[in-house]
Amino acid sequence: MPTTLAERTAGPPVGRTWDDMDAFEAFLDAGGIVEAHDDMPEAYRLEVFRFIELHANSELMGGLTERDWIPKAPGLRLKQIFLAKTQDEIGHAHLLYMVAADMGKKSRPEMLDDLFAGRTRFHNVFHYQAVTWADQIAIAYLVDAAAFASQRAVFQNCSYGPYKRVLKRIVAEEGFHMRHGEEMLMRLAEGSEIQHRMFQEALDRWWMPAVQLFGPDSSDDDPLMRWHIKSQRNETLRHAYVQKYVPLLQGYGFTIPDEGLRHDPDAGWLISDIDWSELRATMRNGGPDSRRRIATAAGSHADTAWVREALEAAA
Amino acid sequence: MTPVVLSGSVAVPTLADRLELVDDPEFPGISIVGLGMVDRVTTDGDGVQVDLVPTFRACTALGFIEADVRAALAPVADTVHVRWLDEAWTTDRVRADTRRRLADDFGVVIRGDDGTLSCPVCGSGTEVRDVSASGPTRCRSVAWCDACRNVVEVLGG
Repeated sequence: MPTTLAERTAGPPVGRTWDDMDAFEAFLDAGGIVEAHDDMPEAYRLEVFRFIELHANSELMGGLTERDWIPKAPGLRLKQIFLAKTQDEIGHAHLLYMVAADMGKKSRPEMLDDLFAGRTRFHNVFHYQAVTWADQIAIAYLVDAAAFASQRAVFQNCSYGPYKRVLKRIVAEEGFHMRHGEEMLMRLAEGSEIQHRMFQEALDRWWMPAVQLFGPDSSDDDPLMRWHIKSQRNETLRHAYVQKYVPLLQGYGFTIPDEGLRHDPDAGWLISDIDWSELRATMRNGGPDSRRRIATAAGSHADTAWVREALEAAA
Repeated sequence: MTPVVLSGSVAVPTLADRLELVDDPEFPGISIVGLGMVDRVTTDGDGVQVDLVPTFRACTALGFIEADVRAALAPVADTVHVRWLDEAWTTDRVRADTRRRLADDFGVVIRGDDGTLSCPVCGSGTEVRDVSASGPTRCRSVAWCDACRNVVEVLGG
């Protein structure tokens, strides 16, 4: 990932202004990077803020999922991995909340209050229950890979500088997590018949949420595309993901839980049409495990209030 | 720092060049040699022993780094032994060009000898303040630049 000059600002920051939205969009289309001091259009500020808040919430909820499995992970090596991944995801949330809060729409406590009250959103994949250890491996292998592909695509052409810089490190670290996911999957794939079956059952539960993570087909007037936050359409990323993971999983001897799955000589692997009502309900915090997950996150935040108070008192 | 390479039948520059291509798993493009993780390379006949210093003892990347070192040296050495030393890694071991690349490519800086921080984005030497003792990894702390309003991560805390 080479650095482009645009990722860095030269010298002291000076806020820029644009005459109107056309001028601003021309700036973005020319590869311009918006900085925190810039007088960006309010609609852009709000859209970018919401996107970063969603990302931050998702890292936090994902980190808490990883945390749940630290005591249950079999063996020291796997406990180490889950400790490190928890630190990583919560750390990512921390950095993202810093960038989001700086945009001036909401403070971090306000964002957390909204998350715990179910007023804001987080990624669909953290609204489901991880039933067995194999589910957690399916998350590490399938879901992390989907999140990685989606974040990398945002990083590639992201127009908001402070977010892009944090994303660069997040993407590098998610790439490292994927090696953990592969390592853990291999243990089950090459393990006993029972282990193999455990992963197949987890795959049956997690394939569809992972594929849905990319969202429904992008609309032609998606502001996130127009303002260079997303660099690729949802369906393009989803299709690329399917092309990579169908043969990999089949190669390990697993069955993709999609009876309509077929291979087209020109288009490659094609999955069945997706009923997006499930995703829509899930993203409104109406998923199978949403209520428990949000309550767990809120409880965890309340339990650690004393740490924040002690840090404030010491500061 | 430069690893000490004692010569044997495998050409020393070859080994050094190959290790230079082993990246830190969390920093693509940043080599473990530049980070000062390679303490010593010794050769004995056609075998090579590589002594490494972990940045953080319980780091889950150690196994991957070890595998990557083996893969990098396998084409030129019959046997590759990798040993993790108990020595403590410090940021003094990080090479100057690696410091620059960490700052330029990743926004990650190392604290100056006087404890100060410089912003890797705008260059401010006075407006970077510490925020928290750790961030996404145990080997980095988190700071914020009040001048350009960007997150700064600090390797080595």
